[in-house]
Parts: sequence; C-alpha cells; structure tokens
Amino acid sequence: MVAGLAIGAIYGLVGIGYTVVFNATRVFNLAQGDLVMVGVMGSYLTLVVWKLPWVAALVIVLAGVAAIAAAEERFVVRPFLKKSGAASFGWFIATLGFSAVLEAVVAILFGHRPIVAIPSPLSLSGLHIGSVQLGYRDLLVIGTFVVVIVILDLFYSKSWLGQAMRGTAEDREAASLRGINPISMSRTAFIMAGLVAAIAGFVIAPITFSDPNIGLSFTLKGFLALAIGGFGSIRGAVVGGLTLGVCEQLFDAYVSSNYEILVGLILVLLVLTIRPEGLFRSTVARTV
Amino acid sequence: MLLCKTRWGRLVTTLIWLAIGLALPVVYGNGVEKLGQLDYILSLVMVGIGLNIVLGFAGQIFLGPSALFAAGGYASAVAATHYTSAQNIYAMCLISVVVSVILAAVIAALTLRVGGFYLGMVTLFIALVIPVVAGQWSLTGGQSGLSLLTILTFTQKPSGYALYVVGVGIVAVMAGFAWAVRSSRLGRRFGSIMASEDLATSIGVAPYWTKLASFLLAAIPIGIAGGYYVYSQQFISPDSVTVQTSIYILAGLVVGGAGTILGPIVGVALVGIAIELLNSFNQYEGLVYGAVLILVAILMPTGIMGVLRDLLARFRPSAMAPPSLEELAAKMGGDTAGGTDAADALAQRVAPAETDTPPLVVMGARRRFGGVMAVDGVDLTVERGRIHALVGPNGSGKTTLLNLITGYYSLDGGSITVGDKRLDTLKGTVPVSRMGIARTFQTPKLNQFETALGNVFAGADRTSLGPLLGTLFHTPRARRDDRKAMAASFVALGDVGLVTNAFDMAGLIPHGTQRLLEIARAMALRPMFVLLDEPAAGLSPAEAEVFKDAVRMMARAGLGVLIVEHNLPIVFDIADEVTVLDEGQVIATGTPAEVSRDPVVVRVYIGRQRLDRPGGEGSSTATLAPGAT
Amino acid sequence: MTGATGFSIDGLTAGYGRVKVVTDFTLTVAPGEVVALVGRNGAGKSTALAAAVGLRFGQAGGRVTIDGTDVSQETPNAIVVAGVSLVPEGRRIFRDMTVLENLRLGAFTRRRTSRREIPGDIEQVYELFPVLSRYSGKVAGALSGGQQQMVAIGQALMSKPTYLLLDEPASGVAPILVDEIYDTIDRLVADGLGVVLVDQSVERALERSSRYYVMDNGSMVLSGDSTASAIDQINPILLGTLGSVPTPSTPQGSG
Repeated sequence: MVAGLAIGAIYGLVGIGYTVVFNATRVFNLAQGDLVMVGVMGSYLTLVVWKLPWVAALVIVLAGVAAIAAAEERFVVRPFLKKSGAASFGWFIATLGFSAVLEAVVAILFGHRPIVAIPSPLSLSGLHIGSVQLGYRDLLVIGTFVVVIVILDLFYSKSWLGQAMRGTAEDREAASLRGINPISMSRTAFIMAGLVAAIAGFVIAPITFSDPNIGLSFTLKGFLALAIGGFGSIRGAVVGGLTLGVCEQLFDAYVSSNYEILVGLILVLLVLTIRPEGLFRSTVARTV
Repeated sequence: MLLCKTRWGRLVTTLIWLAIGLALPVVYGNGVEKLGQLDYILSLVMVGIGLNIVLGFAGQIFLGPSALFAAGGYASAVAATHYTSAQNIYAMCLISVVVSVILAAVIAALTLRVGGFYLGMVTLFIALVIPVVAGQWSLTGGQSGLSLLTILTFTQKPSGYALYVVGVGIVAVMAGFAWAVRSSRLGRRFGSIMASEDLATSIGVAPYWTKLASFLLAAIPIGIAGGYYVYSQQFISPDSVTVQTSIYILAGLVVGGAGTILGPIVGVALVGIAIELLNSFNQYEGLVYGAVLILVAILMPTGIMGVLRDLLARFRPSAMAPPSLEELAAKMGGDTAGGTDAADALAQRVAPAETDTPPLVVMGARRRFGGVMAVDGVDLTVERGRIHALVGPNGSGKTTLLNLITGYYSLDGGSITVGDKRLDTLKGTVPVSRMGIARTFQTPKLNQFETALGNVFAGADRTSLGPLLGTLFHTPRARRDDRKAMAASFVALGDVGLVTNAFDMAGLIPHGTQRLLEIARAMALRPMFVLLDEPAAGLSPAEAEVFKDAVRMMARAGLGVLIVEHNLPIVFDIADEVTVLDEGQVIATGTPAEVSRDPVVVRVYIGRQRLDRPGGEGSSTATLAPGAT
Repeated sequence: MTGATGFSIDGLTAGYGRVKVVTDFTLTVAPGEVVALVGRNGAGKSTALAAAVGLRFGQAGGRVTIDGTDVSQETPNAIVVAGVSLVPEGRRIFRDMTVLENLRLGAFTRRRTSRREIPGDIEQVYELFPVLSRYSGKVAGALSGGQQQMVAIGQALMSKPTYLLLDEPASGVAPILVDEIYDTIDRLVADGLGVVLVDQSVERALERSSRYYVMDNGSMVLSGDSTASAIDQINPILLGTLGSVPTPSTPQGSG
C-alpha cells in the first residue's frame, strides 16, 4: 500500500510537471517523463560517478534539469507558441522529438554500464507500525510529493505569476496587451516543471532503475494520472497519480504483475465512460 | 492532387512516382535482405496512408496506428499458423483488415467522445499495451513471436521482387483510395470536423459518426499493411510492433506532409529508409530521428509535399491558381448534365415546395444556469417569409434562446415546435439543423484553411450516411450532386456579394465579411428557418446594405429569419416584427415602430440613441426618427 | 506633431510576411483628446493599431513614440508599461477567469510599484461599470458580450494608461450600454486620458471625438476636425469603393 502510494506519487509528480507547463502554454510537454529520467541519471552521475555529497548533488541536478527544460522551451516549444491554427499540432511532434533526443543523448553518455543501485541517504529499513512496514525511501517520495503540492497550490492561488500564467495560456496575445510578458511566462513554467522533474528524479532514483528508457513510461503514466484525475489542476494530478499507483500495486498483489500495464488503460477507460472530464474538473458552461 | 492541374499532367506525374517506387531496389539494393527491408518499409507506408486519413484529413489525433497494425498482423499470422487455407497473401490481408477494422471500431467507441489531445495519449497507450499483452499470450507466441518459416506448408508466392511490386501496387491503389476519400463529401465533412465541431454540427454533420467513419476507413489500409507485413517478413513478434513504430510512422507523416496524398508515402518511406540505414549506428538513431522531428516541425510544418506545393505556387503560379470564374462556368455549362444546374440552384434557393410550412413556435421556454433564469418563459413565433428581430440588453438571454432553439442547450421547461414536430426533444444540434434550421455564430466559425467557396460548399451538403459512402466511389450521381451543390454555393455567395472572394482563404477575409460568408453557408443548407446571431456587428455601411438586401431576399424566398442584433438602425430597418427580451423575459413585441416608442424598452434598452443613423438610412425608418430620451 | 507629449505613430508599415496590409500610417493623439479612426472593413485599422503596440506583425517600418520616447522596437508588454493600452476587437479577455481575476491581472505591470492601490482601482472600475461588481466572482466567459466588453475596457484601465486604443468597443453591445461605455470614456478623457477610437458608426465616432482619421487600403487618406460636415467628406470614401451598393445615399449628419 505504501509502495503503491510512493509509485503513485511519482506518477503524480510527472502529472504535476505536465500541469505546470500546460497551465502556462496549453502545451503538453511530452519530454516531461524524460526530464524525470534525466533527474534519475543525474543523481547517478553526481552520487555514484562523482561521489558528491547529497546537497551538492541535489543542487547540480536541479540546475541541470531546469536548464534543459529552459532550453527546450526556447528552441523546441517557443516557435509554436507564436503561431496558432494549423501549426497547433507542431509542438506535439517537436516535444516528442525532444524526448527522443534526450533519451538518445543519455543512452550515448551512459550506454554501456551496469545498472547500479543509486545510494540513498536513508537506509533500506523503515518504520514498523503494527505489522505494516513503512519504507523510509517510500516515505521520502511521499513527503516530497506533499511539499511540492503545497508549494504549487499556494503559487497558483496566491501569486501574481500563477494568475498571469493562466492568462497567458488562454490568450498569449491578450496577455501581452495587458503587460504580461508571455515569453517569460512560458520560460518560467518550463523551469518550474524542470525543477519538479529534477526533485522527482532525485528522490525516486534509489527506488527505481537507472535506465534511459524509463522516460517514455513516465511520460505515459504521468499522462494517465492526469487523464484519471482531470487536466489543468494540481489536485487532478495528485488524485490521479495516487489512484493509479495504488491500483497497480493491488493488481500486482492479487492478480498478476505480467499484465500490470492494463491497469492504467482500464482505469482511464472507466473514467472516460463515467466522467469524461476526469474526476476533478468542474464543467464550465460552453458558449457559442 | 498530384501537384498538377491537367489530366495529362496528373497521369505523367503518377507514372513518374510509380517508376520511382519500382526502381527503388536498384538504388537501395535488391538482395533478399534489402528487399525484405523494402517490403517492411512498404508496410509502414501503408500504415502511414491510413493514419493520414484519420489524422491528416479528419484532424483526429490518433497516435496508435501500430495497435491496429499489430492486431491485424497477429490475426493473420495466427490464422496462417492454424489453417493452410489462410496461407496466402489475399487471405492474410483480408483477415488482417477485418480484425483491424473491428479493433478500430472498439477504440473509437471507447475514446472518441473525448477527442483532442486526450485521444492521442490514450491511443498511444493502447499501442504500448498491445505488444505487452502479445508478449504474454501463448496464442501469439509470447516474447518470441510467431514465425511462418517453421510451417512447412507455407510458401511465399509471389516472392522476391514480384512481392515488392505487389506492395508498390497496393500503395498506389491506396493513394487513389485516399484521394477518393479526401475529395468525396465524406472527406469534406472530415474537413469541417477538423475546423470546428460546433461548425460541423450547425451544418448537420454529426461529429461522432463522422469521426468513427474516419477511423474505420483508416483501419483498412492499416489492416492490409498488417497482412502484407506478416506475409513478406514471415514473422511477427512484440518487438516488431512497439509503440516506437507508431511514433516513426507519425514522424514520417509529419515529414511528408499530413493531409496531402503523397505526403505519407514520401515521408514514411524516407523515415523508414533512414531508420534502416541508421540501424548500424544504433545509439545515434534516436538522436538523428528526434532532431529531424524537431526541425521539420519548426521549419516545415506543412511537410515536404506542403513545401513543394508552396514552391510550385511561387514559381509556376498558373499551375496552382484556382480556376477563374469563366473557366468554372464553362466547365459547368459544357457538361451536358450540368448545364441547367445553376438555374436549378437558383430556383431552389429554399427548401422546395412546402411553402405553407408552419411557423417555428417557442412556447414558455425556460432555462436556468446555476441560480439564474437565463430564459424565463419566453414565447416567440417566427413565421416563414418574415424577418423577426430579437433584441434586448446584454445578458437578457437572446443568445441562450438561440442556443435552445438549435439544440445546443436543452430546455428546462416549455416547448419548441415546427408544426407538430418538437425540436426540443431532439438530441443535440445535428437533428435540429437537419430539420431545416440553419444558424450563424456571434464569432464566425469558418474553416480558415478552406476557400470561401469550399466553406459554403460544405454547408450545401445534406447527403445522409448511406449515399455518403457512395460518394467515396465518385459515382456519376455523386458527381452530378457535387456540381449542383457547387452551383448552389455560387448562388449563395452571389447573394451576399462575395462571388469575387470565392477562392480566397476564409481565414484571410476581413472579420465583418466573414459574417456574410457565414450567412451564405447557412443559406446553402436550403433551410426553412435561419437564425442569425449578431450578423451585422463589424459590417461597414456598404456591407450593411448588402446584408440587408440578402436578408430581405431570404424572407422573399420564403424563409423565416430570426435575427439577434444590437445595431438597431439596421435591424429595425428590415424587421417585420420585434421581440424585446430583458432578464430572460419578453418585455415587448410589435413592429419596429411600436417597440421603439415603448417607454420600458427605451428605458432598459435603447436609451437616448437615435435610430436614424447611417447604416439605417432607408426610407422605412422615417417613423422611428424621434428616438426619444 | 511629434513633440514631447502625445502618442504618435509616424509612417508605420506592417503586414503578414510579404503582404503589406498597412503602409505609411500616421496618427497622433494628445492626452485628454479623443481621435476617431474610421474606414471600411479590411482597410487595416485593427492591423495598424495592433502593429503600433508591437503585436504580431513585426513592423516593417515607421516610428512609434510615447511622449517623445521611441518605442518602435518594444514588445507589447513594454508598451503597456510605457502607458499605452490597446483593447483589441473581439473582447479578448481571459474567459476562464473570474471578472475580479481579470481586472486584477490588468494591473500586472503595477504589481510591485503600487500593490496597495490596486484594490481601490478595482473599486473604481466597478464604479465606472456597476454591473461588473455584481458578477465579480463569475467566470468572465459566461458574461454577455456587452459585459465582456466592459471587462475588457476595465482591464485595460487597470494598467493606468495615459493613452487608450479602443478597437470597435460598441460592436455587439446593447445601445443603452454603448451610451454608458462612451459616457465613461468621456469622463476618463476629461481626467486627461488620450483615446484612439475605432467605430463602425462614423456618426458616433465623430460625435465623440475632436479629430478624425480615415483609412483606406492600408493608408491614411483623410484627416481633419470632427465637425458635423466632416461626414460628407468621409462617407464617399467608405461607400465609394465597394462596388454594388444598391441605394447610394447621403445620410443626414446628426449632432
């Protein structure tokens, strides 16, 4: 159960990364999962290869992934933000391409190496509450998740920037006419998403494989989390991620881990049939 | 369109493309292994052609073509393993098509309601799931897959180069199929769906069924691809149909140019060849592929074929220029069957006969949003042959009432009827528009990337689903219908003074003029009633005159016209009857003169504005002159 | 009049790619003054105003100055900071946000410098357009067209502009609200706001302005003082070029 929550928290963090970018640009960054993967590999590089202390490693990973995200915004996504209409599908292809580039680059850099466990500051053991064992590492993931949620929630409800980002997503031109710099909004959003990805990568590194190919799976699972919970809200990402993680663990335990991949699909199709807009999305009256 | 206008030119270019296809092994290599690779690429090209139908024509972000490909391929492989009668290319392709179409129907049924980006990710995920399931299932041979080589009775015939030629032939036929789909009425409906679903429903195109049709049509080439793949490779395993396959094909489609006929062929072939050649530098494959995707998406959003088309348009404008009006007239007149089409269209501006159709009656209509009664017990009658204006302060419920009549919202109480037919119990906007009720939108909804004529033409289409499939085959009857609709569209454009804009892209026409274009489109539906939502906003004085004439003409032709409009000088000039709404209730009805003297109306709505401003400089406004304060 | 005060556009050229929609566009407005900009549909009025505030078209040429400062190369958001706000045609507000959020976001450029004044400024907008205060917490996209237009204008005012460019503020607005909106604008002008007004109704535009400019085919073709007789010069341009006007008429100028 706790392991399920931890995995759900990972999906939720990817989903939050999507949401942050989506809320400022209406773009789904298909490289989000790969940014998390880069975070994992960055942890491997800094902790295992360079043997840096924890804090230094964390700072480097945060800065590195945020920089990659900023570069993605500048060179891959921004060309599509100016345009509209026919080109609106272009960002999809471009971010997909960027995710392929990230995977390839990481594979080239780390290609032929044994998959090593990445050390964690926390021991493998955990708390025992009655007969339930709570792994420290799982708890770290869940704790981080909660902190990220709280910070982002405050950001969107209280700060000018959060509001301005929402406005920019709706109409970049109108936003610029009201004095909001749309370029800085999208850049900031990508950097924030990069930071979320870096944190996610750093805390999950000890409990996952350090494999360049995990990116696509994060990307899709994070998306499923949103599809289940609802797009555009942090709450949706949280609920969707946790639901997916827990259901997968239960399915593994009671049915079969071979078909684990079906869980996400079944959940999404269920939600689609019952509540197409996701569990957490208020319906806004349409007008024509 | 094969980048050429004349029939001979098309034939020559087609032959050139075919020759390139057939001669490819000479350049690429014609050993057994190389031919095998080319056969593989051919099957990917076929998938690309299918994907293009759903993604390029209908704009549905379907990202899991490899799921259909895999299902079809596996089905044919399983059949060939168990039955000797299924061990030939025809049976295998047939089985593959059937399974692929069934799966497409299932996927569509489950996911089409959401659409957009959602659809893309869910279908991509399905593409991810299928190989995983296949890898676990004993029927599909698990991880090691199914190999036809181990079946002694299986022999390839045709094989080698002949098999490749068959593949090229299939691709050529599919290209023709794609062309037939795109230029059919169904294909134009795909275009309307792609532009805007609200627009599509308003002209009677049901989004769900149209999208479903695009999925099923797409599944045919993809299914054939599955059969051809298994037959030529004699092998299928989870690794041959990964989600990457979908992404590669998608990349090929974008590189080649989505929505064009040759785009998927050229693009997927190039990407396929590139992947085969890069295979030796395994690690760099993804790097090159990703970088190409980014660059193409940014620099050539219309793909190779789009860029070629633009170049051709620049250097040989004559080859790409739309036909002149004279040419078009000659074409219509010169054809024996089409000679009288224009006259027919003129005569049939409105739904023929039924001039004594009963009025559109709204009784006690109520609709609540949250705690607010947006429409609160409204009675309204729109007679045929008359112009009825619906005015009132902002937020008084006018547009809501329009949306109620067109079925966009459902009623909380009351009824909307034409004679003994209830409109309010119909489900959604499509059946209402099919009842002969056309509308325009406050913000014009047009297919921006289609010509003005094309937009009106889309509105002129009232074919029902059965004959619609017939239009795929371009039967003589379908072609004659097309000519008639084209003539009707021209007439409709003429009525709003836009004939000279017929071949302009709708998106580039000024905003105000787009409203006139919307009216032309609504007219092309040959409705009994037409509902205009703020049609005069943004019209220049000269356009306002054209507009007034067009509306008067509609009424003379027997249509019932309901206009929501704030520009009182214009609307009071043409209206026979006015209903004034305030806070969801009718506060006055009568002639323009009566209403404009009503003290309540003046207080809540008209204010001290004078009604004799230009734009309304007709004679009938004389009685309105003292606007009162 | 390219002097120290005033918003001035001089010889502006703009368009889409190689197609020039606007050529040699020139206009000046001083604080406390309303100038009208009229012309047929497609004459290039909207494009000219959008290009003047740095939007999308990337000016090909010309000079734009605000009180003597050259802003020709500035981005739209920088031009807002410099004191010019454009309310574009088509009520481009943030439809998914509430009215209050829309207004607050209008003060984005002042979030650091005058945070304390913002709630008061929102109250002022509500005084100008009382109906908005009723819908303060409502999603703006659910308001009617005229109310959305008020939100758009109110939002533009929240940046405390010196010059306000209004592109078709009366389009799709109930007559009684048109009066209300124009009266509000008059009050703001009396307090020193400079306004460029685009209106389809030439009469109304002349009535509310002190000077006028007429655009045709992307260029400025006529300008002068907004007198009652001006309409006789303007109307031939507006009606003349579009071929099939059935009843050419000379409307009476009304005061």
